[in-house]
Amino acid sequence: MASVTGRERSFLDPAVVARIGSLELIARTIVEGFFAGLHRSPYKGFSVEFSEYRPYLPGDAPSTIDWKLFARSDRHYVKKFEQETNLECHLLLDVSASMGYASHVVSKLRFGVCLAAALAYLMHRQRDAVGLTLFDDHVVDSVPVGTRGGQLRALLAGLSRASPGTRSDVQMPLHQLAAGLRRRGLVVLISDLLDDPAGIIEGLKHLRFQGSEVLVLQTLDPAELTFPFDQPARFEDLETADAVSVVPAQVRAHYLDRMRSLSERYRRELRLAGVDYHQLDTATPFDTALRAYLATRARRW
Amino acid sequence: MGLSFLVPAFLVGGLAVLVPLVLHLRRRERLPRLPFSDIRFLRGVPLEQARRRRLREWLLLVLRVAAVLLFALAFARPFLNDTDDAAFASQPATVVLIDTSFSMSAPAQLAPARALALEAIDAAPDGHLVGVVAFDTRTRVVAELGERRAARSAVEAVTPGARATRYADGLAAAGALIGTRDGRIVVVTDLQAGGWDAGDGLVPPGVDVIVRDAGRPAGNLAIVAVESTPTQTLAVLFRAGTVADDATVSLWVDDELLAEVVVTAEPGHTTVRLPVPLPEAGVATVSVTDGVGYGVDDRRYRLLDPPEPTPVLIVVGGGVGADGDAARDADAVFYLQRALAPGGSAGPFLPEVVRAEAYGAPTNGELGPRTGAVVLAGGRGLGRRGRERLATFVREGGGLLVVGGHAADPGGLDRLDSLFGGEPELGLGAPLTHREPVGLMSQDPRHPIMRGLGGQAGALGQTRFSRTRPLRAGDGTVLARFSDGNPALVEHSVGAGRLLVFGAALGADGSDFPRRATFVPFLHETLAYLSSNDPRPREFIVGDSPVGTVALTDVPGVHDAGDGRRLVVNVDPRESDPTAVTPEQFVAAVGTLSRAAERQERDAARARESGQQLWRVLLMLMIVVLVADGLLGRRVV
Repeated sequence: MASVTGRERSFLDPAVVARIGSLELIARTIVEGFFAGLHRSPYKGFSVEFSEYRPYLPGDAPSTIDWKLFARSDRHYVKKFEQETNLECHLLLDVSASMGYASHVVSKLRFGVCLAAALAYLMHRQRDAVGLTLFDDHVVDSVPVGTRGGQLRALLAGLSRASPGTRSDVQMPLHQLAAGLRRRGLVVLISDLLDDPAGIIEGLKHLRFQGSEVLVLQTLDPAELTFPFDQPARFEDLETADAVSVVPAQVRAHYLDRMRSLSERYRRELRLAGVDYHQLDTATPFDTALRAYLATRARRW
Repeated sequence: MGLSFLVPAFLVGGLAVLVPLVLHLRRRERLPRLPFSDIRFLRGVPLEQARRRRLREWLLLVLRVAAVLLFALAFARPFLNDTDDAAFASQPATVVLIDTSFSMSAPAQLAPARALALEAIDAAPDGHLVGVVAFDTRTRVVAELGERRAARSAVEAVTPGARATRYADGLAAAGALIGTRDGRIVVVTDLQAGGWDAGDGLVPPGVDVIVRDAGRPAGNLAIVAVESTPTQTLAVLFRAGTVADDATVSLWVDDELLAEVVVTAEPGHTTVRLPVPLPEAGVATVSVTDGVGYGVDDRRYRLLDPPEPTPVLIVVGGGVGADGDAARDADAVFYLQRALAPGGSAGPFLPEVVRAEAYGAPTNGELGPRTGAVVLAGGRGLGRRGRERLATFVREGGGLLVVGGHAADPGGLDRLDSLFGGEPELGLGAPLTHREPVGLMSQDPRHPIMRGLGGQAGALGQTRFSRTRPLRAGDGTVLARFSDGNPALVEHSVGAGRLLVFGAALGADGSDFPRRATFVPFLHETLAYLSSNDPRPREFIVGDSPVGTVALTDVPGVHDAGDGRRLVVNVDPRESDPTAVTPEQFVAAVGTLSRAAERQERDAARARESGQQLWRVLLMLMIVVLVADGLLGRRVV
């Protein structure tokens, strides 16, 4: 796979992309920029597939006649195609208050929204049926899975309404989704996963048990990963409004250690559960997430 | 022990502790608020670490507050006080100031005075410390501040002496005893007016002065002066009171009654003529019979022994000199000796001639205290030891007359410029021979030498000098000049002594000075001036005691000074007048010593603080605290 050039990468930079107003344009910019770097179409073999020939019947569009076959057989046959839309994709976006955190221009929620839009755009182009669920401690908004012409617009409209909510309860939508799945599909969870890890893992296992492929994109702020603070401050929890006075130098090592432990736990236990897990930070170009998605999809289908 | 401060105003600087306190609290209260996605992991800091940090923060605060306090304390200059002392110093006091001058020694005068003093002790308010101070021309604290019993015992033991009254000294001593306390001074005295002659009385603020009149005799007779004429002896008789009465006046010389007269003594002073002159030796005692007044002033003593001649050492050049040197030395010594001891008789001076090399010999003893002055008529052969001895004599208060002579003296005087290490230089110039003789002119008629010459100072100008040695005055004072303008007599101060340099010989060779009538007076006044440092008076007033003779001079009469001399001690004649002021006048004469007591206490505090120097310890502690603060602060940050 060819690498992404610097110019193209700039269209994948969250800080650049976040300045674009239209979510559709964002999605297209990300995906087109991503594909421009790949140099070969990922759509090949996915859009439509040849099914059978049948004799031409009056009323059929002449354009559907296979003229090459007519030349060989001197009969009019019509090519019949079958659309390959047997994949259901579910985008789960965490819109809890903690996702509103931003140490620079892009919040985790904004990053997640852009990423979800790009994935939706990409899935829609691939003729996949895509649905969207926004949640915090309950389902805030959802767009049912579908492939109709206005599906992408509905998805993007749903994403554009996303705003930081209240406390997060990640396992709740996972169980709800697992209970409502009619067929196996792909579930993409975009969340900071700053919740009870046992519950989250349990929910993801539930989805796996239902036969779905699961891609977890843990979205974190760089400050959450490096804890770069140096001045004593009173840290206030965005979800609970609790506060604690902290001298960063005193707690940094402990904090980072706990964060590493958390990530390691997700990585270990989700791998065992067959869940693809990727940790992203909001400064990471979107192509990393798209690659992860494509890799997961290619592996399964 | 209690802590006091020399400069307590600096304690205000301790308020600076508010700075770290406020900073600490503000920092605690005003930490910037920082929204964060999840504080679970921040809460999860081990509790022990957080506690330790809080402990460090409080410790830091304590250290910073301590540093500020130590700094302020150090500048306030603390010192430790005995709390008992402090309580003692604030307790009010009553001091009984009892007059022990001889004006309290009249018959039946002491007992009432003691009774008044005891009454004052008993009447001291409850809670007052009581002390007793006796005073005349000196002051004695006979009972320190404390219990009344000790004060009563001290009063019982007090007796009047022969000294005069000095209220100012007594009040000052009583005020010093009271210190900064509130209290009162009860003065038990005969209110003698003469006691105020020596100055005003001052007492500390907050101290009341109460006067108890011990009374005075109805009259008093005293001999206040004795003079002698060639034909008779005059005594001045003082009678206190308003009534004239007969009095018997006697003249005794060495226990032999020479004359006795009965006179009518008028109030005030009466001159009594005793029809015999005083002899030239012995001790004359003039007495008067007085059964009413003070006893110690009934006699007055007069020492008739001629004054001892002042030893004068004449150092002449020795060794091998130029031709004629010996003759000239002999000439100078002849006239010097004649002038100082005319006809070999005992005069005011006792000249002793010594050759220079003998004076500088190791075996020669140091110049004793009896040597009044030294005349250096020639320095040839003096040597280093002799020069050092001479210089030491002058520096320690002796008088030296250097006679310049009229000839070059390369082996003697010319080397004496280094006598005092070059400061001052004798400034002897090369000998000058004058075709026209020059005279001698006084330059400073107020100088004791010239003043002593009186009218004869002008006659110095008639003296003719054909040979002189010009002098460089340098920093010295020119007392006389030759008529050619050159300095003739220059005075220098050397240490505690005096140095006079004369720019000509004192013999007949080269001048007619020895034959002039001014020669002897000039020499006598000069040597008297040089030997005036001899501290040996022979007549004293009680209390005016020279060093070492306190015990002797406290008792009127004739005493042996221990060195073969006799001393005469009389009472102060002013004390014989019992004229009194009223208690109101007495109190009105006492002023308030506004700041002396405070100054005294401050001086004591400063001395105590200087001895302890706790500020150094505090500053060291502050440095240690700051170092600890720095180390701890680094760990916290």
